[in-house]
Amino acid sequence: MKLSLNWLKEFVRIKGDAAQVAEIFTLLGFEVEAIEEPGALLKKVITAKILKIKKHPQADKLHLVRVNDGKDVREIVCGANNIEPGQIVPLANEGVTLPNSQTIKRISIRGIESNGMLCSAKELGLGTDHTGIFILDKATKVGVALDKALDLDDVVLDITVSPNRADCLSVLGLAREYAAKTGQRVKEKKYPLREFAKPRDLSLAALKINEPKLCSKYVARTIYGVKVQDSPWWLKQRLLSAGVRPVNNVVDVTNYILMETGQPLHAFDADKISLIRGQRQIIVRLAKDGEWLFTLDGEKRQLDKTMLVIADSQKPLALAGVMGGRDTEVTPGTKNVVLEAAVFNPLAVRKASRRLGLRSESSGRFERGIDFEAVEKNSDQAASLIAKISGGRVARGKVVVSQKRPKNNKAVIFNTGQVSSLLGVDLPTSQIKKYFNSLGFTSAGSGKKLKITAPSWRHDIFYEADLIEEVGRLYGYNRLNPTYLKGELRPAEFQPETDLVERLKDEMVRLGFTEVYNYSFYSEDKAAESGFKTAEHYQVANPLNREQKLMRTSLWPWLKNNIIKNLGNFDEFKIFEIGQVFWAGEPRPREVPMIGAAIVQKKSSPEKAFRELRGILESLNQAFRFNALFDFQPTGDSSYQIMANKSPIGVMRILSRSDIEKFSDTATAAFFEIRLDLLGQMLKPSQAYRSYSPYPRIVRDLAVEVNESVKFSDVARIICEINRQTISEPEPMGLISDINIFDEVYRGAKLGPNKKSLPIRLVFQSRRRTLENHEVDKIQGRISGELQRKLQAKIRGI
Amino acid sequence: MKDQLKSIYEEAKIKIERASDSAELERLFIEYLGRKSKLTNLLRNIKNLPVQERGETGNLANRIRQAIESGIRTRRQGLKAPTGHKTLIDRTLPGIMPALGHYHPLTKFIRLVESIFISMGFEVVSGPEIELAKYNFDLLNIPQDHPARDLWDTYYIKAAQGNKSFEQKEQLLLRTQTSPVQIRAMLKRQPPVRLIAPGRVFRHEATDSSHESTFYQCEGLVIDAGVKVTDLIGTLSIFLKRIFGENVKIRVRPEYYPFVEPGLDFDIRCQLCGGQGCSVCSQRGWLEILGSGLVHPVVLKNMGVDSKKFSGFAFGLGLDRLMMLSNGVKDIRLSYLGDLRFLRQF
Repeated sequence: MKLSLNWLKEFVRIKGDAAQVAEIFTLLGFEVEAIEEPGALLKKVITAKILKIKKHPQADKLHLVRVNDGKDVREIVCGANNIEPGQIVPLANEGVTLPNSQTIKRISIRGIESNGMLCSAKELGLGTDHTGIFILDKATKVGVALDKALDLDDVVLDITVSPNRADCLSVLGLAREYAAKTGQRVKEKKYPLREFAKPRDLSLAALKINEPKLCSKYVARTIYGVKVQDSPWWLKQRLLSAGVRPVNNVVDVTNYILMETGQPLHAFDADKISLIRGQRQIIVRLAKDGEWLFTLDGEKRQLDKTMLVIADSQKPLALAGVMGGRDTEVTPGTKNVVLEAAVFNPLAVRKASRRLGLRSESSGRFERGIDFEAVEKNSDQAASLIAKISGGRVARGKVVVSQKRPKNNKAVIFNTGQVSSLLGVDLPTSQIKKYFNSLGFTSAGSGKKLKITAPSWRHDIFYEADLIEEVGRLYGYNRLNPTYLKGELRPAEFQPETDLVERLKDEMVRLGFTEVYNYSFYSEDKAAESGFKTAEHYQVANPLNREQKLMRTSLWPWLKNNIIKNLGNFDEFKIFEIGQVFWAGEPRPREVPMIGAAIVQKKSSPEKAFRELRGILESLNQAFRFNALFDFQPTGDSSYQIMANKSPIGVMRILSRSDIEKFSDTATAAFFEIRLDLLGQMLKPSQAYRSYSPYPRIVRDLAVEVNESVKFSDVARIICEINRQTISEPEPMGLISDINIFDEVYRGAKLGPNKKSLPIRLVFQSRRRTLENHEVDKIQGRISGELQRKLQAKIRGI
Repeated sequence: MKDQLKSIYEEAKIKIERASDSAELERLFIEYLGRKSKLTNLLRNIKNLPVQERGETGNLANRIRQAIESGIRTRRQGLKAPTGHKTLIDRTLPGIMPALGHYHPLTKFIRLVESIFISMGFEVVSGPEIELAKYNFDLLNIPQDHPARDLWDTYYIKAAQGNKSFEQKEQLLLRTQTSPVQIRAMLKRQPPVRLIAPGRVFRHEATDSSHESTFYQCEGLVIDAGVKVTDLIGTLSIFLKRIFGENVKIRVRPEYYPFVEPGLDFDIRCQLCGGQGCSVCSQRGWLEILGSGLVHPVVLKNMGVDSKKFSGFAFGLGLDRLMMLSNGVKDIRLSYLGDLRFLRQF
């Protein structure tokens, strides 16, 4: 809502500058988004009177205009054709910058120097006309600043009005608030209404309300003999300040009263409403399926039977509360006008407006509720003003059809003690009553219990809490003394899921991974990479773009996108995400928490990337004591199912060359995604510490050359078997304490095709004594023998 | 024997002093401390001494041995020092930084927010991202077809067509706020309650540098006997001071939210312009930081809380915006791009 302070001043006295007024509104709950000064750029343009116009001696289309600027007389070169001696016009002197950003310079045109420039509406930002000079009223003083002359020395506040306060979508409503806060009464504005007997040949409007539930009040008046033309400047200026485009003097008055009072009004061209038995019958009814209407914005609107329309005996004329129809629009040819002021059902207006995608100043107010009691008065004011401005006369008598006043404002019992127990401040009852009275509420009773009734323009008062708010905002929340919570403290419940997520994040960051956040939805292309069918995805019913079509079932598609995007800037990186994916469920989807992690390496191999990522999994296994035995079952060319203790918990993939090639020649990427709900189930209570052996260890490194088909696990199994033979009562774990790979697995020309060399490190250690070299030699010899015999391995000591 | 020991020590001391390189020190080490050295030989002979002399002589021999050893060590360091580190290390070379992982800035910020509230006795809870309309709107006093619903632009969710396992009886949507967690939490709890619910929320609107389809909110709820507006102001002021510093200027003003009454917004004085008005605060001088209010009686009833006995307050804050303000991030979308050039700065 744009509020002109000059307009506001017609209702209340204003103290202080615009910023102070803005603060009062903001602290009352009407946040001022911006303070605008529409006339700021016109302060330096002055009014001047044209004394004489001569032709330019060197140019046919130019004039030499002699003007009086209040101090001097001077000559200006001008090309416009709408000027005459005696007119008052805007004059911009050298150095002045106009609203269109043009700065006036001293120039000579065809040899004659121009002492400034006369301005068009467009140059002044006051309209679109650029062909002629903007002509002011003849009574305007000469030599005054244009903003003053045009009543533009105004400040406009751009105010956010919350949906529960439709009454403040009007100057009057905001004036009431300002008056209540500053201890004033709102000044009544007077619109004297003179009614005239209707001419014999004029047919008045008659009303028929078919849907009284959807139209609780309808007031129709006829104004005859209007002369439709441009509105006077003051009226245009008021509408412009409120952000409404001026149309003509009849329509402008309806908009003016709308902005001033919040009552939507509509003017019909009376002669375009069809006649029945000498009357212009107006019917408020539901539309019929198949009916249509050209609305004022020129669109053809298909109607249906849920929509309320204003019709004559033939056809719909207007969409009730939303927009008028083009066929009954007030145009320059209009002579007689039917003025509608009504109350339509908020929900009906809202539904019609939504269904047609058509919002208007009217629909916004009807949706939120208007002042039922003020309709007649507002109708009278508008009729009076139309007559005054357009030269018409108001025909005697208004036609009113009204239901009983709706019961939105029942009295609410207000326990004054609640002020101290809910707001935290003690206020005397007299003060509380004063606040309510200042807002137009009535209060009955005294002492602790008051009966408070809200005024007819309020639609937001149902509970005691609503009244507390009124007291709070008038008192001022910033005056309250802060207090702190006290009371029983209950220990928070332990949340194992959240705990796991947070600890995993710590662990991943510790392992060198950087956390990413991706969107919860993605495109169909990404869905194709998720491992789920498109039909297994929940859909977004109203996506704004293709990346919002489906709810993710996997973290992978976005992580892959992250990998590819980052390859442009980084050779090697590790990223992870923890987030929810969405799988079928009832009544809501199953939201499964996932961890996805990816490693990108330069000059690596798929095997190395795989090992590194497997190592991450093993680190997590250790850190969280999952005690899981992992196994990776191939499910495709480069994808695996991760099994923990033989049940699946996630997937692992190596990113294919073709995916990466476009972005990097040297990168290799591996990825895993694991269900956190399953990981959580593997969590065990903290384990007891196991003592380590105090005796020295003996390390032996072997290069075990085998066929490619032999797996490390085959080698390890044989070594474990030999270790088992070393188990005795004092050595329950055997004498080999660790088997690992200590270097790169070698493949190359030296070995020949299909061969690899596994660099295996064995650690020997006793828990009871210092091992002797010769004992270890013996076990190592046995290992070499078995590996040669069973795996045809070649062994080299290192 | 004592004299012999002493003369060995004197001799060694001089030779160590004069040694000019570490090779010579090595030789001296063998000469005086090696297996075949005079000192070792003498030590071996101690057992032949009369019993009463053994202790004293042994002691002396050991002291001398240690003195020679430490003398050689000290001299060795002395030999290295002048030619050592200073010339071999180019101290202007950049450090080698370990390849650290980084938390997402929102994770860090959420943890900070949580720790502040936990210190005031709050517990942290969470809820689903795809919600039933009932929890996101209806039970929060935002009825279907009410203009208040326009305050939240909503993504609606439907099941894939023709997939039976997806058949849905209730209207699903992406939660537009973390407030539904309030309702869910209270179905399982009885007052007194103090909780916060940080989480991901969604708004159906075009994105730009300050608007995202996806962002994070933190919801808070306190219910107890006698909870009042001044408690709300006190609690949230502490929170804002922890985040923005003790001197932050706070302003409270009325605001409308259907699930609270009265509703309050908290603003802080723009720290960039000090209230003069700048692009960060849209020339207002104040930054809107969080929404709050006393829980609406209808919502209390929907939570199964007796509003005659208990009152409460609720609040919601946009974590992205707060994180951006405290880190100087100018574009909300950076959080969701997965770009390491951004993420590695946190």
